[in-house]
Amino acid sequence: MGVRGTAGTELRDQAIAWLVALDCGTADEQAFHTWRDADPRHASAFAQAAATWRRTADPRLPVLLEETVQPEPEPEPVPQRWSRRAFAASAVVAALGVGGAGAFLAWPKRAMAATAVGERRTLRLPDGSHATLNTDTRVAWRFAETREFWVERGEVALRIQPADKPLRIYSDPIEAMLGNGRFDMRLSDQGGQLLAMEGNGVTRVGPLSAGNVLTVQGGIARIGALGPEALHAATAWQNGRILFSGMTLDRAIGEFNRYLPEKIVLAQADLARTQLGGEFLIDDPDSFLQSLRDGFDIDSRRDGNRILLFRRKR
Amino acid sequence: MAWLRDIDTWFADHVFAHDQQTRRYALRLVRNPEEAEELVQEAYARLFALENWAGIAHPHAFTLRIVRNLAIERFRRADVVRLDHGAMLHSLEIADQEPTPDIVAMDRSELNHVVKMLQEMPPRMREAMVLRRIEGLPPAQVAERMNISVSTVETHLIKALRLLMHKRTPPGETEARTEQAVRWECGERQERN
Repeated sequence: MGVRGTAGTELRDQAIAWLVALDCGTADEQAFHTWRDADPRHASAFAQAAATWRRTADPRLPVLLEETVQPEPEPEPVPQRWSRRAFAASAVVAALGVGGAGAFLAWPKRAMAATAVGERRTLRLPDGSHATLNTDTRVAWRFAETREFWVERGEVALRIQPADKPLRIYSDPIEAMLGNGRFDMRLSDQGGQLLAMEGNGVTRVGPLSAGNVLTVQGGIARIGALGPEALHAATAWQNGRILFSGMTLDRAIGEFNRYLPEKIVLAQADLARTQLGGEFLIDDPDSFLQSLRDGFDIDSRRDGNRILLFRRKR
Repeated sequence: MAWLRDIDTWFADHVFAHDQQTRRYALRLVRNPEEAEELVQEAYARLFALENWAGIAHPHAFTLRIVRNLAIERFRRADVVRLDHGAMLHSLEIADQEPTPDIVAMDRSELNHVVKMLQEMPPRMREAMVLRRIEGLPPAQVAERMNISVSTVETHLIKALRLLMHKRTPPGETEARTEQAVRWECGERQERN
């Protein structure tokens, strides 16, 4: 490393020392301002230290550290398959164990809940808000001075009670502050979406009002409007229904498969483009398969742990 | 946090968020990681000398352009001019018409890096970081909880932040670049023959 490289490291260390001293309240602020204003390199080094420092308070960090440091919690009671006892308060409060070697970590206590594939469940949150978890979903929350809610995977519908402070919702692709109202957040492999059915929210890319959807795909965020029909389709799962309106068969199967431990697959690839519509019960895939037989001459048979779809021979 | 100015937040959101890409780009322009780091640092410093930083439409593309101009300046000043290198500098045009997509959250690889560093650092250092940054306890309470003085807490935090800021070479880049360089040199030789 050359002379300039060494100077760079020194600058970085100076910036770090200033930042931590300021954070701990031990810095001479006047001396700091003099140092920072003396050279744009100082200002830049300080800004880099501050940006890195900011990363260490990222709201997703507790989740990631838990996942890797601590064993998976097992707070789940027996799954209630499609219980219609909507809003019956399930007591799923699994405060994180912080015993043993990890005790010092002293995580802010977060409660967690998860659903299995095919399961749906409604939880009552400490402030009286409700969260309905769709299939294969994992969430966490902490309600103290602030209301914080994490979505780790899957889909959740929130009915948020009014309060002084907004509810902050965090996930890998999306962060937002939500007021009272009804919202739906769904995560996928490529990103996610946040839908406002009632009420308003604020996201990093702009405000979100009723009928708006924020979609994040491949790191790019967009806010758009949803028509009444699309809104209805997006929220049908809360009533145990799945809606297809002119959707291609491969996408429809993808939707249905979210709920099925045994996945439906196409034996013939050209079936994928078949367009279909209709409303089905999530927990009754057989009627879906029956409709394919009756309406489209597409037959199905069990193949190991899959359900194969193929064109019926006449 | 009165010590944070608007430009610091702007820099974190729109420039430093792309730090990895910027460093990768610099590494393609020059011959070694130290030189690339110097270019990036020089480019960042120039941003902080600007009056009108808030008016920059695409801060990341703007930063890349500074890096590139600095590399070209260095290339012109070099004692031994490498023809292949000059051609390369011109081939690495920046698509500056394309706006950088909004960063909705910290890049996952950056986040994983922070997680990894937190897990690998010495336990007491990690404890101080977790209590201060993740639990958000005031420094005095961190000190109390850890049964140490505030100045020792500071030392832990300083060392932790040093670890986190230790520059990484983007994975695989050095090797890939060396390979490329070898290929260009071969090409040059063939042309002369």
